[in-house]
Amino acid sequence: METVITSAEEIEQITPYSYRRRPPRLSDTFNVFVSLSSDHLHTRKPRRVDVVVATPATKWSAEGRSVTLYTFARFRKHFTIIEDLAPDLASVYLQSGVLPLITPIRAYMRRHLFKVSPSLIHYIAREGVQLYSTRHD
Amino acid sequence: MIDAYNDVAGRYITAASSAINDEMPETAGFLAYHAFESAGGALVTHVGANYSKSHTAKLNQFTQHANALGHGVSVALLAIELASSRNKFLYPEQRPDGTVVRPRDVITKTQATKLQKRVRGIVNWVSAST
Repeated sequence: METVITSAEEIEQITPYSYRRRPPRLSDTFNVFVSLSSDHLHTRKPRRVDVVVATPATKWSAEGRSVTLYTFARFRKHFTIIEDLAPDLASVYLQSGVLPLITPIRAYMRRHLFKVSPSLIHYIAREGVQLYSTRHD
Repeated sequence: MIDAYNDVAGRYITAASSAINDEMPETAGFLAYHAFESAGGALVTHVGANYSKSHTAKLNQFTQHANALGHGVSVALLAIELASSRNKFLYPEQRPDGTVVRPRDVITKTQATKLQKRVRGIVNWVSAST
């Protein structure tokens, strides 16, 4: 059943990859990437990161060349989160061939994003697969 | 083309170093990105393949060929960091709450210095190998 996001904090309700059947229209390589990276993130539990949702941003992504990772986290400089997550994802990138594009979003925005950018939330909910959430620890 | 790509890579990584000295870490970040992508052009051309026009495909080609030569992890790591940051180094971004993130807000001087040194290592490796 398709996830429907109706309020602010429900981005966490996006179905975790492990419970969701294969997303439609996506390549096998995308799915390999999602599975491997989810395992890596749950093993290391990056301390600044609350939620990571993978979405295929473009037709290239859907074909398995790259994937956008919306990363709700606590940080001052975006690069801090990118630098922190990259080592977890490098081996996954080498195994899957899918380039992860880390997009940090400040954690507090989870409470406001539905109001200020409903299209982004709907997009994430419709296309996204949750790779990691601290709530599921 | 191999020499031309290596020349571009060398000049851009030198420019990145100058940008750090000029207190412009975000500019250094983008210059390092271009140096890295150009080094990829040298390596991919060296092995006889056509270098793609797409940014993503270029980095994937570079990583794949570097992996075959034993430098996969360091190139993969930089590809992720640079590809994730590229547009943020270049363009201001309006947040959904109306505030604006400037490129200068994305990376510190310390982070840019470290990034530039790692890219220089890859640029030097490719130059020596091609």
